[in-house]
Amino acid sequence: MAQTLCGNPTTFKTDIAIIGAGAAGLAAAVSAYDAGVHDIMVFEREDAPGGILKQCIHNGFGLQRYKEELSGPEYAHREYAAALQRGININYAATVLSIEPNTTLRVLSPEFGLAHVEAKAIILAMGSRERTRGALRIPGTRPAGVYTAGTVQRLINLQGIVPGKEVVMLGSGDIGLIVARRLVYEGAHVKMVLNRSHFSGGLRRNIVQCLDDYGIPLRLLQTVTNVYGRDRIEAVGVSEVDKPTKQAIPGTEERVSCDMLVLSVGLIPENDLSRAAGISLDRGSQGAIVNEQYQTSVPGIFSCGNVLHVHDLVDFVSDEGERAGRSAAAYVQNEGAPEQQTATTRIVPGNGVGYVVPQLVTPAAHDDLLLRFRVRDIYHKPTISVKVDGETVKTFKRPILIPAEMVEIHLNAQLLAGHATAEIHIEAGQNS
Amino acid sequence: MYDVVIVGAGIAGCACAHFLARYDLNILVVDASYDIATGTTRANSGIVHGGYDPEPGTLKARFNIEGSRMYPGLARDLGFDFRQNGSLVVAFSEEERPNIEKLYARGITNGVEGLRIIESDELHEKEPLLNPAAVAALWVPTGGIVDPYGITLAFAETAACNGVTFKFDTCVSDIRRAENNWELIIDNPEGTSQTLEARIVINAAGLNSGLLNSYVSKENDFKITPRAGEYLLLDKIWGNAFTSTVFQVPTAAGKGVLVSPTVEGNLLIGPNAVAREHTYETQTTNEGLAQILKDASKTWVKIPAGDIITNFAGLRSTCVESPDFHLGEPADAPGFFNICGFDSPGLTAAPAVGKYFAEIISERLQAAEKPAYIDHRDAPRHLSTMSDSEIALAVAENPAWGRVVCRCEQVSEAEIVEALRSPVPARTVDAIKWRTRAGMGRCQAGFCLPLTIELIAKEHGIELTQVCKGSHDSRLILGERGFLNELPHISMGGAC
Repeated sequence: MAQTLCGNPTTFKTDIAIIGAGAAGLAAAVSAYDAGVHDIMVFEREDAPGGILKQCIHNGFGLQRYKEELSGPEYAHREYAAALQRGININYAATVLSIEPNTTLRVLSPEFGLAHVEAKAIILAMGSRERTRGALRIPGTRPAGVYTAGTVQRLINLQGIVPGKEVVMLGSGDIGLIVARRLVYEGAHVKMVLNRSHFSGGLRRNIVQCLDDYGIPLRLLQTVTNVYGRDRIEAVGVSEVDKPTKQAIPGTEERVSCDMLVLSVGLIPENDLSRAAGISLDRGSQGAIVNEQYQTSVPGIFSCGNVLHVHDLVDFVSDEGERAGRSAAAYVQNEGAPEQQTATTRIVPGNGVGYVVPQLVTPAAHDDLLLRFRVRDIYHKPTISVKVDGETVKTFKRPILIPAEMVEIHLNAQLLAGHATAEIHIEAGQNS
Repeated sequence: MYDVVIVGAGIAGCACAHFLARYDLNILVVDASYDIATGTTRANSGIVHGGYDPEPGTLKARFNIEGSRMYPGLARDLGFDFRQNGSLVVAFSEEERPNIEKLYARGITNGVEGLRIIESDELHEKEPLLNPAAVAALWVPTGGIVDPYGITLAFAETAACNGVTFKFDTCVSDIRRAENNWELIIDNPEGTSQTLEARIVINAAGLNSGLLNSYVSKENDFKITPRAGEYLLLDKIWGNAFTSTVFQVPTAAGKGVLVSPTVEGNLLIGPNAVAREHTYETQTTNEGLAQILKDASKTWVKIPAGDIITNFAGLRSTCVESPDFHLGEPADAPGFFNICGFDSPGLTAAPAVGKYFAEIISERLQAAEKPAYIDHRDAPRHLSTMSDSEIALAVAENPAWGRVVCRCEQVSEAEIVEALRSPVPARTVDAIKWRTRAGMGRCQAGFCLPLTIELIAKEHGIELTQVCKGSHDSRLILGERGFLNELPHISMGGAC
């Protein structure tokens, strides 16, 4: 690769440019390659592939995809090995600054400087970021010792340093639960995990294996309402939450001393580049609005993985990456897909459903249409119905649905053909 | 022996240092904190006021006008972020109209240029998201926005380049007369103390300026009350929601809150005003933040609360009994120059006060101007505002420009290293944040903190576990992996 010697940006031309070499980006690259498109450039801002998997040294990955239990780095390595075997070009320390018109990227790296990457298709695989204290508007002082769970995980697992030893955790998302256990392994005292709502956002197996096994109390309907301490955090105010309004109840604050507050209060798809590029986003999923090809509102730009919607299992991220990779390859091979926006069906989240991906289904959809969504509450023995024009065309039964677990349904796309909208609807079962 | 010791490295102290550095004087700036601008200067609205607000004839009126006139030239010469975006003081009903007319008249008396009352149509065309109920506004074209940290750093760096010494973590615990000079007792963080001698002392100690004054003066007795102002900061996607700084006209019901773009491209909402007991009480409160949101909805009916990225509070150094600035020497302490009660419009007034003090003090000490004085500073370069060819050239010269550390604000490693090697070096994560914006964006340092602490440790030759957020007691990392194994299972004490 030519070094930039003057003040001129470099230009690269490629068939498919992929932003991110995490689980989604690697799977997309491999599947696009296998579908026959070999001119691929992957841009990864860090110095190694794998994204967040690098710091997830616990096991539990790959049960679906590899039928065995792997650690995060092991899972990442398998995905990376597949890309390596195919000779896929991955650029490290390469940050995409913006997505420009005509499927062009502005990319910055210490190696090639500033480059304009003119691609035929782009796959967004940027992953997600963590919600912060600011977004929750937790008042109080601003001392050292307030961290998000993923940051704590990185500090301990990748940098070998421990940021706290008397810990209160707010939120019980999966990363938080894993990190609570990790802190215990380091000799820290995790005093409690608080959860604003009446159910945890984490997988059941993680609550058992990470909290129950170590005697860490999970306090539901409690939240942090204050941060105390001048230099380093000294305590948090913990208040009870009113279930119907989800607001902290004034006067219930209890002062709990700690030297670290860890936040595990959700992930947000990292769509700043997408938003700036004018890609339409879904307020529910916080990712791009895509069709069944995982193509966004901007032709030639595809999206997959946590940047599209937050997943609980990496196996599904890889699967989605593969789907987006195949679609992008087909798009390149067909020199752009025909515009068929007119006859698309919009998939609308109905009762109990937060969002559905894909949000649009085109007439080109296969018979086997995969829909992924999340529910807003816990449902025992529910019925999932697909309704078109108010009429139920398909139902599914499940033993239980919880917000922590993404739901998948497979549908014959023919059922939706010719309809402007279809709605996914949840009804609680008898024993709820 | 120093010619001048300036106590306090906020905007007032650094402005004095900058203008005094022109003269052949031995100058020291001390601050109890870890960096410049950690007190009142750091957390305020960042507004350069037009000058329609202070009572005519006051020091506030005089230095506000003089200061605001200096800003455009200073921003150009010293390279800090300043934008003359204009201010609006809005009346939301016909009943409120007389209040803007009163401010208009006061502004004319104070000498503010370009004031005009604009009516509903023009107002709403200027600010489409403004509450439709607004009927008219006072338009203040000289109003501006500034990065308070940025101008303070510009003053400090030029002062340092011209030979001024800065000492941080240096707390002045007493000041005594020593013949014609002053003796300052300094408490070091290690628990030792030392004595400094100075011919002139400038008291720019902000929230502690009342205390400092009490060391030397019996006559000039006043008290500084910390008054908190809480703020909410919105994501950059709303940075252009309002182009002007929008004030609500003060009424009997209250002073109102402002909605303003910031020079960094965010949108700021606040402040309220709550008296606090201690000078370190910069906490925010649920009630305060909720009230600000409610009050601000008078300006902007549908504030997108979901896009608030952070909240913070600052403390004003207010002299409640006599609310004008207290500038100059107490009768019983000649050679001791106060800058006290320096609340709003202190930020606007600071350059003018610094210049004024430099003139008086240089004359008093009969100091000559230096033959070689650096009166220019190049604006720090930021990846986020550089053109593609500028970036390409920068990376060709130094690959660190190509390495993005903070993705939300697009801050490169080169910018962080520059801040760590500044003439007034950044030493902490907060100092890096204020100088480069690394960690100020949507993820609030989630991704860049691990990288920033490594850069700080490497540049300053310290361990990762010694890196602090701000003050020297604010260590971010308690130990290396395994450090807890040597302790009892659950340690309640401070292991560090």
